[in-house]
Amino acid sequence: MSEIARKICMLGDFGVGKTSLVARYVRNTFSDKYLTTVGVKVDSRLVSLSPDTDIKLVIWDIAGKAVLDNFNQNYLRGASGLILVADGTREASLRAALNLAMQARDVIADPACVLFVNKLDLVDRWEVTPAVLAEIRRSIAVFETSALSGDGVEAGFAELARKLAP
Amino acid sequence: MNMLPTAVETYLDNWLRARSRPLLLTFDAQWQLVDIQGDVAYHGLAAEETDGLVRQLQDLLLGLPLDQAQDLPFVELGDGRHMHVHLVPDGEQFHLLLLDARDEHGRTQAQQQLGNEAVLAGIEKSRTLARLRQIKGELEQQRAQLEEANALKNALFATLSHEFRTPLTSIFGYLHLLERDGTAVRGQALSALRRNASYLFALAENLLEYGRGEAGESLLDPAMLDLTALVADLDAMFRPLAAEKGIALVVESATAPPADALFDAVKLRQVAINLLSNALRYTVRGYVRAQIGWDGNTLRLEVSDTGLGIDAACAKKSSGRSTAARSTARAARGWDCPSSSASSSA
Repeated sequence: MSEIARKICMLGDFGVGKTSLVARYVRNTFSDKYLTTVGVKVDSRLVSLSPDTDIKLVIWDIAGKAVLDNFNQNYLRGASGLILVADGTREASLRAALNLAMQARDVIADPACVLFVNKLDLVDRWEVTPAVLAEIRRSIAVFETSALSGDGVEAGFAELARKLAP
Repeated sequence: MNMLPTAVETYLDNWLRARSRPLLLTFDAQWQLVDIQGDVAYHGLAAEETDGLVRQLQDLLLGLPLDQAQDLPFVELGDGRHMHVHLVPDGEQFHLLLLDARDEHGRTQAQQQLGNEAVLAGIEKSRTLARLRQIKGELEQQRAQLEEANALKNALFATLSHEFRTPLTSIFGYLHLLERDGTAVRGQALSALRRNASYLFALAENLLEYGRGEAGESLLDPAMLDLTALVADLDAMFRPLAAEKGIALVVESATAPPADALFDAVKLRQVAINLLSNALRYTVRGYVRAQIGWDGNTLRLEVSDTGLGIDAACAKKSSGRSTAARSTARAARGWDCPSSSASSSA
């Protein structure tokens, strides 16, 4: 059995649900109380890629920002993958996530990327339209997720793990 | 920077140590823990319990070069504590200096939480205002619809007034004849009174049917048409009025419709009465002539008179519903557009 480890970073504006997505994925828990993240919290989960290969995803839940500051650039160093997170009910957060991805490429070269459009449980209040997502899907894998229900979360992380496989 | 006095250096050292509770872990290049110094007890670590912390630190430094200094502020460890983590290379070894950031994290988080919640509240406020604007727009639209419905209702009342006036005029005319001529015309007059009373009854039925139509039910009541009876009724209804004004009246039938052609008798009669009523109203002298007949696929009613006529502008405006009511309003305002309601109703 071989095990490899990869660092991935959650990037997105504040309040989009990055911490909740990690809590759902790593601990299968959810809290509807909003508590802003300061700095970074590191979690990990082992994912089986094949019967004889596991990959350890070391997940950096970074404080939400619309733009990358020096602190966040420091946190990104050594990352292999990015999970961009947007809130479907806030169209501006989608633009912020895509903008963060552009800035992150100045720090890490050619990272594996997926986009989570979160709060699928509030889909009737979404400002992000299917047409916009269809356009984005042409360049990046998009997952409509709900940290509350868990919809799309496993699939999104699994897709990134597959992209990070050696 | 010049060296501070020893007493100050000592004070500063003690103050910083007291605030940051430094914990220093020294590793070799293979991540073997070589030494651990600092307030181990404060950090809840016994020497034999460092494996979990080391694994966390290995995850934290994954992908980072160990021979370069690193500064990772506000790192939340597995037990919920917040530390500033500094990597300090030292030849074949490296040190990880962990400084307690609990208080600083608490203050920063409280400040950041307030700011973020204020922004989120602002977004929610904007959404609520947009929703209120939308509701206001919908209410204004509903108000416009209600005003239109109210105008239609007023038009309906005006139309009804117009519709009821004609048969009532006829009834009064025959009553006058009965009073003047006694028995000679009694049978004819009573027959005319019955027809007009029936028509008024039909109008009332029509009004009820209008209400049913508003509820989405059918407005038409198709049946075979007795053209001869219709012509006779119209002639009997308008002849007294024509005689009173000294106008020649001709109401005649042409080709009868086929047996399988069905009409709503009340509405057909209503249209014919509208046409003739207006023609008589706006004709001062001369004649009014009406002909009803089947022209192959439609029932045609033509009314001609020696009245004021209708100009092109009025003819253009005369299409659309509730025209009879508008015509009444125009007449009240003295607008000479005598036959518009008649032609549009037809």
